[in-house]
Amino acid sequence: MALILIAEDEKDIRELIQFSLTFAGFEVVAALNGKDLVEKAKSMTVKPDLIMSDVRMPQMTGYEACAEIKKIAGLKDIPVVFLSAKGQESEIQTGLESGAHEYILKPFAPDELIRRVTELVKKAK
Amino acid sequence: MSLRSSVQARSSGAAIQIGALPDGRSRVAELEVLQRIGRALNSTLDEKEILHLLIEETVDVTPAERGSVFLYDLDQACRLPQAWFGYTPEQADALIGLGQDCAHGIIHRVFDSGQIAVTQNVDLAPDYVQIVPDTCSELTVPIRHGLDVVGVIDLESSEPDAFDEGTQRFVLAIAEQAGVAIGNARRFAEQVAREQAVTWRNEQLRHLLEISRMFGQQHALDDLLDIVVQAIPETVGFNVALLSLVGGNPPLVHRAAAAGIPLADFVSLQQVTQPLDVLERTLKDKYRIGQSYFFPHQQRAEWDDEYTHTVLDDAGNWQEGHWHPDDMLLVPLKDSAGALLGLISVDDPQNGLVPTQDTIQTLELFAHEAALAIENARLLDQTQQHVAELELLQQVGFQVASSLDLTTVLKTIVASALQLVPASDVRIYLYDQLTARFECGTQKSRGDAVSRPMTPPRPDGFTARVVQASEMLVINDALNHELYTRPEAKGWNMHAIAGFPLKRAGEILGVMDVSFFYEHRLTQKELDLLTLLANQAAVSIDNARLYEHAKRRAKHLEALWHINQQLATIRDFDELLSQVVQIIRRYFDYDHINLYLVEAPNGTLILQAHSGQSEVDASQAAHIPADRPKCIIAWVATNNKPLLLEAEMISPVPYPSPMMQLLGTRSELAVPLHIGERVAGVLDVHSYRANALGREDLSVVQSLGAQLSVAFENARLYDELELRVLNRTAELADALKQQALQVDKTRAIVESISDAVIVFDPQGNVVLVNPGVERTFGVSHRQWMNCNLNGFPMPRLASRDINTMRAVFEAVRKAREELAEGKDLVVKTFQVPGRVIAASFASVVLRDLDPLNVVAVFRDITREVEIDRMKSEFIAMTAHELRTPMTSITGYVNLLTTEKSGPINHEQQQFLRIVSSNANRLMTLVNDLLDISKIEGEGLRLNLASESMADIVAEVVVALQQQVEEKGQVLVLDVPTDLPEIQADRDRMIQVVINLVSNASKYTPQGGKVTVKGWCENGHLMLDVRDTGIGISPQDRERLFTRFFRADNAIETQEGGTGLGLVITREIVERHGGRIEVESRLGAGSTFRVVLPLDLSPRLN
Repeated sequence: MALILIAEDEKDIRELIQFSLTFAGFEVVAALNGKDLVEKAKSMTVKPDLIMSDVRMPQMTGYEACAEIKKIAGLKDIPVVFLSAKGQESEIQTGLESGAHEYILKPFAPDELIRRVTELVKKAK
Repeated sequence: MSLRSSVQARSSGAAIQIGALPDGRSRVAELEVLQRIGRALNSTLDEKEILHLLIEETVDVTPAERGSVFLYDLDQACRLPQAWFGYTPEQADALIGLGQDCAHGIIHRVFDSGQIAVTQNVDLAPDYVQIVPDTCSELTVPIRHGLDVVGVIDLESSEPDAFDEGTQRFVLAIAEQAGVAIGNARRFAEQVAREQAVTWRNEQLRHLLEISRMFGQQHALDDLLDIVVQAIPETVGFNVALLSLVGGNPPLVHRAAAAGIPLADFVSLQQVTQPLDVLERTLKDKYRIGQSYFFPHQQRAEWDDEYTHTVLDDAGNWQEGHWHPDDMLLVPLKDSAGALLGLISVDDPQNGLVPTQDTIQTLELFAHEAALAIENARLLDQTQQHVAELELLQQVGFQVASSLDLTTVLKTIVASALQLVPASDVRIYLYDQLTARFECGTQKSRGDAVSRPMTPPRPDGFTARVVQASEMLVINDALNHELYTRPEAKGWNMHAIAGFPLKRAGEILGVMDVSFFYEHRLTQKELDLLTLLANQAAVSIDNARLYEHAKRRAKHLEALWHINQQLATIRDFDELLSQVVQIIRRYFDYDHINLYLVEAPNGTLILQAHSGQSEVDASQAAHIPADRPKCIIAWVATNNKPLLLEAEMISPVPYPSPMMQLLGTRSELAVPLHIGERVAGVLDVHSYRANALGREDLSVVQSLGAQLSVAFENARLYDELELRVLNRTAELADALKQQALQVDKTRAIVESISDAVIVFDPQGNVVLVNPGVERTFGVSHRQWMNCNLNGFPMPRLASRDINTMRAVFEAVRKAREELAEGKDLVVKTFQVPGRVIAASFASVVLRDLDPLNVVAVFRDITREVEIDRMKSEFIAMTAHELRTPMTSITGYVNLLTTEKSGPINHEQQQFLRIVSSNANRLMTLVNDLLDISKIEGEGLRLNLASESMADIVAEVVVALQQQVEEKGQVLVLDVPTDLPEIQADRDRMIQVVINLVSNASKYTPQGGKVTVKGWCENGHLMLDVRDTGIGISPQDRERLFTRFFRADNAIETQEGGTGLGLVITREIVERHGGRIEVESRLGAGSTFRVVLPLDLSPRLN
């Protein structure tokens, strides 16, 4: 079963994602923000198959976190997907430039999210 | 041998003979006589003395009582007693008479026979002539010299038989002695005479030498002839000498020089000339002696009638062998070729005798010398004359060539002709071949000739004939010529005349007439010289004429120019006319100028301006009716033709005209003046001289007239214009005022605009700025003026201001390029330091040819941009903040409805669907607002990739399946999967199709049909979304794509909608380079067609 590391500062959304992905059968580790994401990624003994991160987060944005992760030897090959609000394409572009593979527009329906993540994990393997 | 020794020899010879005498006589006495005679002969050579001594001694010694010696006298050509003894004077005279009568006397017998005659008894001698009565016997012994009997010794005695043989021998010896003595004496005399002759000859030669020398000294021929003639009396021995020369044609003999004739007589002699042929007839061979001719007076009758000689003298005392006053001796003078040059005749010899051979020879010598002198002198004369002529011609050539003044040229030529030939009168008439008229001329007469006045040549006269013949004409015997025997030629005394046409390039410029009022025959040489002169004259006249013509032309042009100037400057018409007339007077030598103007309507001619040599009351001619007969002014005005009026010229009006009579002029020329086609007046000029005006004047006055006509025209136009200008002035003033007002208004408006306004001219210069410029850019509006788009002179400003201006000009330059491509308006936004500027540029056509005046309006939109940015930020923020709770709402509703957290009942399911639907509406609204804000802000950004329309449509169908099914509608899909892929932003294209299909479903009633059809056409992908809905009214169709618009019938459907969907849809399609079309009918449904290019690249920048 694939391991997914997610970062979302908004608790409702984080739990929605966590619930949905867990429901779909993924193993999920959730970080509270960018900084937390980087730390969790470093500290995890089993490296996640996919990292999914919000962009706007306190302490460290998703981009910054992504950039950090891409600098770390053991983590840099893990695909990163951003969750981004529609209408902030400039942010999406920046995210892709920072090393992300995909983005998923908010708001998302849980089914939709599960479908996309399933695809991405399949692609990453 | 000397004379003296010769005599001595003879004497000694005689002594020997005497020494042989045999008988009876005292030998002593005889020897004494012979010795005395011998001494006498030795002591003297005087013949007379010898003969006296001889006869005295002989009579003394012999029985004779008296005796005489006769000798032949050469001078008197007779035998004369030279010495006698024992005769009385009366008896001596009888002896002389005896000597002269050769017919009688023993003496003559002895003379003739040379034999001694012893007459013992005179009575018995038949030829005895008694001189002394008692003479009984006579002894007559001849005296011989050589073989000739030169004399006779005659002794007489009263005793009969007085002379014995001894006496005879003695007298014979005496006679022989005497013969020797006489011979000696004669030889001596001859010697003396010969010496005299030599001396004389020397003297003659000296004279001749002197004469020759004089010849060499280039004396005039007349002087030389005088010298020759004056030398004749002294040298040849004639007191009178006359030298005549042959000359002229036909040749005449005339006296040229004389010696020994009183001057008055010679002058009268000079008047008489003799035809040469008469003289030649007289020179007959029978009179010829050597080269000369001697006409004895006896033969005078023979030649006197033919050759008149000098006045006859009384010939009373003439003797044979002497010169008779009527004798004539002529020596011809012949030149080296033998032609007769003249002759010398002499008279009154100093010795009174007829001429001897010697004399004639000497005279011939003189004649020869004189002939030579004449020939030389003539040759010299000819040469000198030729040289002089050539010099003269050269001088003439130089003079006439150096002068371009026609009068001077003519005078020089005429004077030269008189120097070249001895003519009495030379005149030149100039001729105008065009008018066939003679013009003025020049005339000069030789000092002594009667001067004939210079009258115009008669049309049938000599000069006219020269023109007609166009070649030289010569009349040598004018006295008999028909031209000069006419009555009018009486008193001209014309003897000869030659006329030379002065021709240049075939045109006759004039005629030179050379007249002789005395007998003269023009020689070929004279004609040649005059022809030469005529040619020279023609060239010079031509040159002078050309020069005069050029000079006049220049003057005319100057005058025309001045008139032109006046015309240009003077506007007052009356003053103009008066000025023009004054100018014409100043530049042309017309004596009077009148300017008439036609006065409408009856055409009366009014004298408007007048200028004249003298002040004349012209008021009499101030008004001329147009129909006045025989008036040149009226004629010219009526006929609209120029007219020249000269004496003896065929003319439609009589000469002289009334005006001429008034002014006292003799030539008149009038030309019409025009305004347009109409005759407006007459310009009338006069000259005091007759025939003064010609074709040149015609052309000049015509051009003056033309100039004036132009002036009239101008004046008329000017007047009209002035009127029009007056009328227009008020309008113009009004218009100007209006314009000024408008300008003020415009300026006020421009200045009051808060935006910056800058106007650039086609060269890019800033021509207008308003105060808004300062407000907008913070750069004083003064700094903008005088700037230019390209390399503008940059004022000294802060670098920030300079950068501001640079940015502005850069924007203007770009806009100009676009305007030049034909755009009407260019809108741009650009930044200057600290400011964002929105600018609009428009080209303004001020004049036809410079469309690139650019009006630029700038507005500082910094604040607006900032607000816009804040708005976008706000919307983005809001959207984000809205979305997060929405995500939670929809997410958890989805979890519930998908029963992931456990089963729910149908009613719960229904409620959750309502929540979800409204949440979706809210999300759509948020998304649409975000899109609109993007479209209006930085614009939509596309992430292009190759996409299949079939896939997109399939995805849409999935999204909308539920909505369509809920309305019981049929969704028909006809989008082939093998359609070419398009470059598109997948999400955006899905948004487009969702929008269209969703709308179609929304506005189509329950059970309706929605069709989605895709195909390719002309390189485009076409996608139709057709419904069977309520349709869109035409007026709604126009506003369909404006924000927040919703058609009335759409609102009635109670379907939700923001009124933003179609705006966003169209924006997305257009961003893909496509377009969206709508077809609809109210109540029947609508079709939205998306047209997308398959090859997107050209559409995207």
